Amino acid sequence: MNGKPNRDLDRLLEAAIQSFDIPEHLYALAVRRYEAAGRWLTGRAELRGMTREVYPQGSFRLGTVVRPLGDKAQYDIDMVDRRDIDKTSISQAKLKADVGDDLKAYLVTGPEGQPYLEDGKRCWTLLYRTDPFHMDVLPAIPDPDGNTNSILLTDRDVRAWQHSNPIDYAAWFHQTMVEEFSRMRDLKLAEMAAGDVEDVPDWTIKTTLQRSVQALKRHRDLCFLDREEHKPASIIVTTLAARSYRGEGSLYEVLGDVTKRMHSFIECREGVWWIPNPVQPEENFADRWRERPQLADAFFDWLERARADFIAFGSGPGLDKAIGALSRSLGDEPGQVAAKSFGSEFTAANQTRRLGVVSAVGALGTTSRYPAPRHTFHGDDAFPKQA
Amino acid sequence: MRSRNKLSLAHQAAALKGRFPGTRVYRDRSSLTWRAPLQPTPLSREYDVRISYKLGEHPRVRVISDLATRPGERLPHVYRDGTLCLYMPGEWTPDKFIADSIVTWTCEWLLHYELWLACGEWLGSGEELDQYSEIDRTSDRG
Repeated sequence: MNGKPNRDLDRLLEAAIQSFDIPEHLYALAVRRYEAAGRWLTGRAELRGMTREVYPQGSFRLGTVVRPLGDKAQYDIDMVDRRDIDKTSISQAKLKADVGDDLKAYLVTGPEGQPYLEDGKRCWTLLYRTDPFHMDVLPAIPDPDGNTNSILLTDRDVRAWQHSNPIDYAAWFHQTMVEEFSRMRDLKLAEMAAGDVEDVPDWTIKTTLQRSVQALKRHRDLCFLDREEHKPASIIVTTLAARSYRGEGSLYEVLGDVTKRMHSFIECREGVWWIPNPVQPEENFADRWRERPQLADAFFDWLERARADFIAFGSGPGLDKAIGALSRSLGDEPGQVAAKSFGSEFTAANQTRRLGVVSAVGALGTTSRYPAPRHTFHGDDAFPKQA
Repeated sequence: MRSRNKLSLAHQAAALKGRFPGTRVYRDRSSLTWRAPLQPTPLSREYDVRISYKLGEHPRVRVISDLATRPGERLPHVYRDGTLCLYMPGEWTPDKFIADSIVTWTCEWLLHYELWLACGEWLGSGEELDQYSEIDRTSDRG
């Protein structure tokens, strides 16, 4: 309302993306669940006189969660379970088995959410019977060759430990958007100043970078629905988007700009595609592309399509054109949600007598000096005769 | 009718020209016609709209531009003669400026029309329009 084309596009985009983000109440519930499991695991370690840390990683930590597609699809939350054990004193299999034993003992305590356990390739998964999410618990130990936050992860299919550093990666990601983040935070605090709210939790703020990553991931999920094996990894999408992000512009502009620039941050070193981990530059996120070049092709094809699809949002004219483009690239449901949220704001503005015409061509807004009376669209068949 | 506060055609015409500079109002002793391009949001199309008002009657609003419909569906909130159903009886009275009521409601109709095209649902305030699916397709409603 009261806006330029981009502001309305942003409102539509924001509402659409929000529809596949994790809702605040589920986020809070997931935090409760992992804190409960975390307390149990650290408590077990303390009994043995050892230290251990349990913390979230990946999209949950970055604020870029996207609800997976499908009727029964659940939010996927990744937890690192770092036990402070020397690499030389434990095998991957033993570490994994030990964590499994601790989690089995946890289940016996009858935790909230009634979880049960599944054994995965790299991790244990806690599946909650009462909640629409599951939690992957990744057994890890400190990486003696890295810094304080570097870890080594187990992998059943690979002999070597897998290097990772989710804490520093998340810090890097947050650093790239720190200015927009504090601007948004200040704005939100100012809006809430009238209320009793004392603080704004970080996870309730979503920058244009986080929203762009979410849109890209959802677009990818739709594109690769029937060829999961070629789906670009989230870490690749997230890293390239963060590298491309320039810290200014509307959501529509940032999404378009980021999608246009992402390919330029992929390096080719002596014929090998490289997407270095920004916090561990010797690690190549595109390592798998070397043996499977079709993954690189799939990625570049997808990125080109995403770019074209996202530009189409603004190619109008007509709200129906914008919403149609939104539905095609992010899904029918997000498109519907965006239309409803957009329309209901105008209806509410009329019902509270704030809606009026704010330009000589009839643009609607809430800053008119002459707001219109309340009204109800009528459905009668014949035109009424007398006024 | 609260004839005490009833606005004259001259008042209505002045308000329309004042709020929408560059548009023209055609007026005789008992009626006026206003025609203007309206674009309810910067993302919307521009629609050619005509409002005719005869003293003692309700203003009639017609969209001159072609309006696409959803396949197999009729335009919602449109009278049989093709004019727009913008309000319930009693919500508009002749003491209200057309420029600040009917025109705003028309812009709202256009906005909700575009959203209806996109999602098939009327998102403005209004009665449920179940009867539309049952209406005789040969009726002269536009």
